[in-house]
Amino acid sequence: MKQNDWLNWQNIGLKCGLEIHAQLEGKKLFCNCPTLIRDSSPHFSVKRHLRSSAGETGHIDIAAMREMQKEKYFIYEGYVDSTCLIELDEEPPRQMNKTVFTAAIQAGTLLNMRFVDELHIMRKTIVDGSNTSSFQRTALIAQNGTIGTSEGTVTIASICIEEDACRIIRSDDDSTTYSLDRLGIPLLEIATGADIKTPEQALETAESLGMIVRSTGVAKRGLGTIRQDVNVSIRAGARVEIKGAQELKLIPELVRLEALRQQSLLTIRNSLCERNASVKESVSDVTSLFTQTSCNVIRDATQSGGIVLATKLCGFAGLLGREVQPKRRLGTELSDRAKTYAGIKGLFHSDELPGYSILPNEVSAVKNALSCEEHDGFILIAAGSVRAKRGMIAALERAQEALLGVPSEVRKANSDGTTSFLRPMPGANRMYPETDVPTILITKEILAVELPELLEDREKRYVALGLGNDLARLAARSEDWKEFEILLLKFQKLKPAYVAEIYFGAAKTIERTFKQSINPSLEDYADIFAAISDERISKESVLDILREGSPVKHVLSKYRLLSDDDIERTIRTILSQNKGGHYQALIGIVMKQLRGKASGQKVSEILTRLNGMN
Amino acid sequence: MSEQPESEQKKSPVPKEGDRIQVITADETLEGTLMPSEQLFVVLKLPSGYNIGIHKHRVREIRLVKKYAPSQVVALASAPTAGLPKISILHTGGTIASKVDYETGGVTAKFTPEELLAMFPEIKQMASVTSRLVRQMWSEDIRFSHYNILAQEVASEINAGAHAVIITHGTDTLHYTSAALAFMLQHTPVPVILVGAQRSSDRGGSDAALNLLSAITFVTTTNFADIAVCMHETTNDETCVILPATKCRKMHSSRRDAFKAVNTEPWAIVNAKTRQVRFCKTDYHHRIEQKEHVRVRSFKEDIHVGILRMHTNMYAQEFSAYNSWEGLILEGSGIAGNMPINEIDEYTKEHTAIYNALQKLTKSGTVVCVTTQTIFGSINMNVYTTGRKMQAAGIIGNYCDMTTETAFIKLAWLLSNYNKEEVAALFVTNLVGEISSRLEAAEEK
Repeated sequence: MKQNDWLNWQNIGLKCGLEIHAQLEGKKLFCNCPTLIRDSSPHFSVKRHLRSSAGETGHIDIAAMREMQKEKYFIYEGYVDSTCLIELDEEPPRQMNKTVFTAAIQAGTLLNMRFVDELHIMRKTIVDGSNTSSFQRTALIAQNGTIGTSEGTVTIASICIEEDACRIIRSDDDSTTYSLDRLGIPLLEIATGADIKTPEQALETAESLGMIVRSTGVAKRGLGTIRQDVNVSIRAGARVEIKGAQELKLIPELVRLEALRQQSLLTIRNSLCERNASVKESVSDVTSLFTQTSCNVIRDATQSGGIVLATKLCGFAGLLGREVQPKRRLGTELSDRAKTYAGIKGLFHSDELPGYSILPNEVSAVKNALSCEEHDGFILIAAGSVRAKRGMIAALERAQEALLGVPSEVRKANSDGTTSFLRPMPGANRMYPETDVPTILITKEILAVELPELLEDREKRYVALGLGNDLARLAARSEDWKEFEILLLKFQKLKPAYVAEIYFGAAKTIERTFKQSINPSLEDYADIFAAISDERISKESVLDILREGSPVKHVLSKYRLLSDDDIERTIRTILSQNKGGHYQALIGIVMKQLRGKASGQKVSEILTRLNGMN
Repeated sequence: MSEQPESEQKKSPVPKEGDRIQVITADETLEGTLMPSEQLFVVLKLPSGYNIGIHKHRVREIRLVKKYAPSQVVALASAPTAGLPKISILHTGGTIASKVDYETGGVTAKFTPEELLAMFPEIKQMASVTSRLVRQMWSEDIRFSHYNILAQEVASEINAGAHAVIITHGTDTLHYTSAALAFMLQHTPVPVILVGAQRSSDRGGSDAALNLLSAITFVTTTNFADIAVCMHETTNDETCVILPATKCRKMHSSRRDAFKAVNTEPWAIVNAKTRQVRFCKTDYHHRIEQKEHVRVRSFKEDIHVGILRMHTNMYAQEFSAYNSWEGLILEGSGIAGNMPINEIDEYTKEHTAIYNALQKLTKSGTVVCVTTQTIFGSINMNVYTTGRKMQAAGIIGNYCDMTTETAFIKLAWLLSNYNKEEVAALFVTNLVGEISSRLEAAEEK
């Protein structure tokens, strides 16, 4: 990291925090269903509506209300043998699956955290439909920890045990379809404080936390099993939560681009203030100006009975097109809102017009209709009447927020490190007790768990055993490291590096070289290593044996090393057929015939002896 | 004005639920909101919203940071819309109108029309609602006295000109109450609909809204005027069923479609969103505009009626427990509501004692009636010897298809209002739709 980079982050007041969510193996958190993610067609589906209602304070959670405004219904798909009435919210939760405590307590201890005396399960309101109950069950088990990084200590605010939400299958204007398979999978949520100071430190922290979670041995593996949320703010900006960074490597870019976005939005805000800009919510129907339009989006909308709405944005000219992130402009942010809340696909802003087959004369006509002056911009929405109005309100709300700076919201990570709008930041009112599940005492017995070996420690141990760095890293992080260690114990005559090379590398080599996929069992490997140990087969034949398929014990005899007498007999025959042959030529012929059935060393020994006799 | 002693002023008051406090232990200071606490733990709501329990023996000091000041409830304007039908909503407790207090974590009940409209704003376009709490109770705590109170309230709402009465009720004994009202009020000139919820209204996934809105849709769009139950038809939040008051039953402990019609079809299926009602049966009573004064025929509050469920290996003592009771429902097995009364070998000597105990009950004046634990289907006591022996002992109920719950309510109500001979005759006579004259071959759903 360059010194001036760091100064830069400090100058803009970057604050960043992480939330790591790791799925755990075993049963679901509140029922006895397996944690099985399935692709096969579902066995049943049910249709539900979720409502938001005012809390005791009289305030409806903003995020909740927004979802209700979308007036969507939800379809939940499930499997009779792996999702039950509890996922369907047709039966109350059972007791919390206590096996998740082991992982939480291991992680908490490694992160120097304080555990609560009594665990309270809470309901966190979530009404995007991803939970059938409309809330996520979550419980805080530890707080106030730390983790070291090369740029200083990062605080760990909390570890929570949570249930995972449904998996989204598809979404259209009226409904969202979810799979129940993921709902209720236990999650370990580790949240850092907002004291990460640079994008690189964010990555380093995420890597260390991921390593600790993986070290517990019960974290699930594979795509989507660990998810990172990144919280970013800069001075005078606002906290923005970015969801769905599945790749660790993306984290520094997400932080950088969000800091950039907030800076750009603040600059835009300043320009807007200087111009005395304002958003007046008077919307004009300009459908009649587009009767001859060649713009497909507008034509499609009007021909199917829709309308074209336009609103003047006083003082916004030139700023709607201002980039806030690569290829994302202020106008994109307005368009995101209209898309999210009303499914609007065609929102146009004045800085991108004329364009999209909207002609200069049409632009002038709109400007006239709205009485736009030099610094005024406008937005256009073409859609069905109800949807166009709803989309316009949502877009104008975002324009209004531009006058204030950075809206605090939840955003979705795009694959290039930019982000798009997801939903408003949920209010603080959204947590209340889960009365269906009793509280749990965190006793000394529960806390007395054996600490796992950290992956990085295991890796060091393997390097000390003679494994190369890459192989050691691979072996330490493999799901099969325990099996590997069983093999090491059993075959102490063999070098650990050789066992690792075959156990972790042979299948890949075969895949790469022969385009053949093999799936040997632990027993197969044990049989092979036993045969090598006893010098019944040669190392050269291992790949060929594995390629024969499982179980290998049926084919081992085929590759059995020949006795010295047999080797001698073969060599004698070859020698008699190739009299006067040169040693190099002879060894070639002999090896061709004996490959895999005799070690090279033995062949050379015997050949030298017999050849010398001739 | 006298000054308070200085020491008293300094002493911080004992924090109450909802107060912002600091909990100081040997190694940490935690700040948050004090929640209803338990014996061993101080329960603290952290600023993040999470509750945690802190062992009281670890707590060195609790400091008050800020007294709890309840937020102002934002009252939504609720002027009754002119011209809409007047509907009375009576609350008896249960999950349907309960709500969690986000600040203190307690559950409170919401019953004023304003609160109801805030929870279910759609009602405003459908009806002009008055709303009142009759009793706040778990439905398992209901006694006959409560039926009397509730029926009086319903009658006075109808007599005051209500277009319909909707009763919110806990689901566990909702079908007992619906049957009780059916007998007590007989045929009402306007509909009386009982509505429950399997998930409380404070949850976004609650079934309460659809059940209530479907009931209102039903009473405002049809001329139906009977007593009925309105609950989810399926697990989907789509349609509700209108079930006959005396022929329905809670058939699942937790599903939202727990209530099913027994030995009949639902009256109707309601889709609140499309405002469509599809009637499955048409033999309901129609709304009567020229209303007679509705009278209530109450329960005797001290009447003793029991239910005894047949099981294997019974003892005579179980039957003699009902000596001197006014009535007993025997929920027997199979088609005849059989009880173990046959001595067939050396192991069944107790069965003669049971038969004698039953005879003793009937002879001493207890009205003993049978139902069947198969739930669905009719009683026919002539098919097996056992049934004929039971009839000979004075046990009644032949050819009836009442659920055990309806039979229990009916027997208690008859014993409250008629003499023994009348009770015996009326028990097997259909009064308010509780006995089917024939069971149709339609498939069970």
